[in-house]
Amino acid sequence: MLTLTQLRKSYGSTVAVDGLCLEVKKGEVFGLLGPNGAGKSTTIGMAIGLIAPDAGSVVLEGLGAPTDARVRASVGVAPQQLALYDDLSAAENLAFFGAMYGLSGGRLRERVDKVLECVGLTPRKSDRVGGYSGGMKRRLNLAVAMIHEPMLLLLDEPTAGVDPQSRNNILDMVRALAAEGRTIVYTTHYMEEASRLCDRVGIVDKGKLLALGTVNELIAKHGGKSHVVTRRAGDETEQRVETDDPVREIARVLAGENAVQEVRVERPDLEGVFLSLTGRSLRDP
Amino acid sequence: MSMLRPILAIAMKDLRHLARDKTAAFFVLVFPLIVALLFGAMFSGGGGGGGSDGLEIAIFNEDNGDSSKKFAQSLDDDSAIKVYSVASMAEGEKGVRLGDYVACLHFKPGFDPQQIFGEGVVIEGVVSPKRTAEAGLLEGKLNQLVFAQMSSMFNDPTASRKMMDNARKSVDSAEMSLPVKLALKAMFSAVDGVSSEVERNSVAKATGAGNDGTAGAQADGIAWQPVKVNLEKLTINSKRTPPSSFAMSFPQGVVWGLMGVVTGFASGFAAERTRGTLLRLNVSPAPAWAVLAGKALACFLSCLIVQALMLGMAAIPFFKVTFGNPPLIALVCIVTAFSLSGLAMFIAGLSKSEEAAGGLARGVLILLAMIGGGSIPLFFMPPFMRTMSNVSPFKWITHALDGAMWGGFSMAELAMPLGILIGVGVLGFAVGAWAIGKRRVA
Repeated sequence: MLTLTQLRKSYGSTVAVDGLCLEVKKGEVFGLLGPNGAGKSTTIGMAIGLIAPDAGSVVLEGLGAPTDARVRASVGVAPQQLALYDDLSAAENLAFFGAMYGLSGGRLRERVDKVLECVGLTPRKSDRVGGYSGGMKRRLNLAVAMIHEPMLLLLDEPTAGVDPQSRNNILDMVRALAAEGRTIVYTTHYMEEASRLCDRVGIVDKGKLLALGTVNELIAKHGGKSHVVTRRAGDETEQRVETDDPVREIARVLAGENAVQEVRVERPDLEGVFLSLTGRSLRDP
Repeated sequence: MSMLRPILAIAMKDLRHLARDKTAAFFVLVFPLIVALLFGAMFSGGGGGGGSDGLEIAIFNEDNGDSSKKFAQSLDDDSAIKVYSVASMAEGEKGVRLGDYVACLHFKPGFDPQQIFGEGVVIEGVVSPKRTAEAGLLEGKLNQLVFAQMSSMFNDPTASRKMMDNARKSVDSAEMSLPVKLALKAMFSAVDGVSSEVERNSVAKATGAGNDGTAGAQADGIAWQPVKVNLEKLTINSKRTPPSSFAMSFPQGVVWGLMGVVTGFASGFAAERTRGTLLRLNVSPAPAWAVLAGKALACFLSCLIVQALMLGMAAIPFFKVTFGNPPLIALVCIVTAFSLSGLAMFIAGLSKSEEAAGGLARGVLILLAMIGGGSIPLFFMPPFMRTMSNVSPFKWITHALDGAMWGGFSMAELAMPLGILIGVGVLGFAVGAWAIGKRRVA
């Protein structure tokens, strides 16, 4: 659906994206992960035609480059920064952006009503957005990206700073969109979200793609071993044992002389993969 | 996809923004109205007062004789008056309308500033209706100068006798009773006597005898008006006179309203960038030019609305404002809206943020409005400021509006101000579009 080939972009002496190659398949939810300053936003900017690459190409399957109007009409964007008009209502925001994508009349009204329903804003559709909570604005931000039924959606941290209810609504929306066969590129700092949503994940840092695959593939390849954590009766300290076979390790612990008060397995997760690939040092771009 | 739809969508959205922004609405509508009412009340005391280095007047010397030339030179010698020669009354009138001159005097053939009988000295001309106070000052100066020439004439026995001879001829041919004729002739003989005495004193003074200073006192106490100044307030037809001070102040109010619009749109465009909504517009299928066109259309319509509302207010009978040539007024409003939309694009293109755009707009526009007569009328300004005001589109806006409303301007007379405004608009659009387009794709 979306193919990025040898993309390169520099700002002065800083290389933001360095020969990135990526292919997002049709109908999949693709997670683009990376620390701050890794080049995610620049990559998305090039993918939607807002940033001109120094080298390489961006192609949407069967349509062409994103600088073409037809391609743009097939792409929806929910930027990380809330891009809404505070002094317009939710319905007016949606109607305006719908008109920008060529919708009009009954079709526009129908789409406005539909996406308002999807993001749960119908009861407040006539209120000005300036009075909305952060979560409501996030949901509307996503709704605007969906108004013209794009085939490809680029969602840049769509759940940043929202309450659990709004977050849950947004994740449900993304799942529903994926179920409709739409292709979604999703960036987030919440690894748990990426694990739950994404069919495949790409981890980028310093403009390069460090790892690509399903969550399980990445964990298997980069996550390291599981840990069995044990606490025995009368002992406040925990003991952590790294193992390839947690079941055998648990059996070994239970067979010991001292009674076991607590035992649990810590499996490697996407966050561990992320940290192992990008390091634990703070990133201030 | 039709490009008209996104253009109209952007325009309607921006107009809705403007209507809902109470602060913007205040500066676009309420504040300009206050300005118009305030200035109108201030000017209603009788027009402007001369604040410049001197009264700049034009003279069309059709007589071109020695006396008229000498009189013109005497006017120019006065430190309070600066004289410009013009080749015709039409040229002089044009200068008066443009605000270059307070008045244009017409010395007709036979003009004689030393004629004390018959019709007296008659000076005709036209004066700007905006500058009645300065016209009054000019009239006083003309009286003073003619009076001084009379005084000097009494010191010149030859000129005096010549004038008395002319006066006697006038009396002979005039229709008046015999006793009056005799009385006047007796008076002329007395003046001759005074002149002879002056001559004797001068000779004696030249030879060192007698020095009682009587000569300079000859004119003292003469109680007639030596000069009759007929200055028309450019009343070739009644449309060329502002019917009230509000006819001048409402165009000034329009200037302030337009400033509010331009500031609002320039800031609004920059705000789209910082707020992220411009990103959404830029990734939509609408091309960059359509986004700009939508913005410009909204600004254009807002400028038209502001002008319509302000002029609509001016139409309230209380203000006694008349609208001489409605089609030309409409044309001026349209060109003005185009010009200022270009200016808004220019400022938006050069500004990176809402704050920068607001600051730049306010700074530049207030300066342009002030030097363009938006706050202090141009005729209060010294000559160099009036020259400087040519760079301000607001000068040409008020000038064109004045001309179309009550100045009786023809299309030819409006061509220059409208041409300048169109030029400003085209330049603003070109630079603004270039700068905005440059930022669209990094």
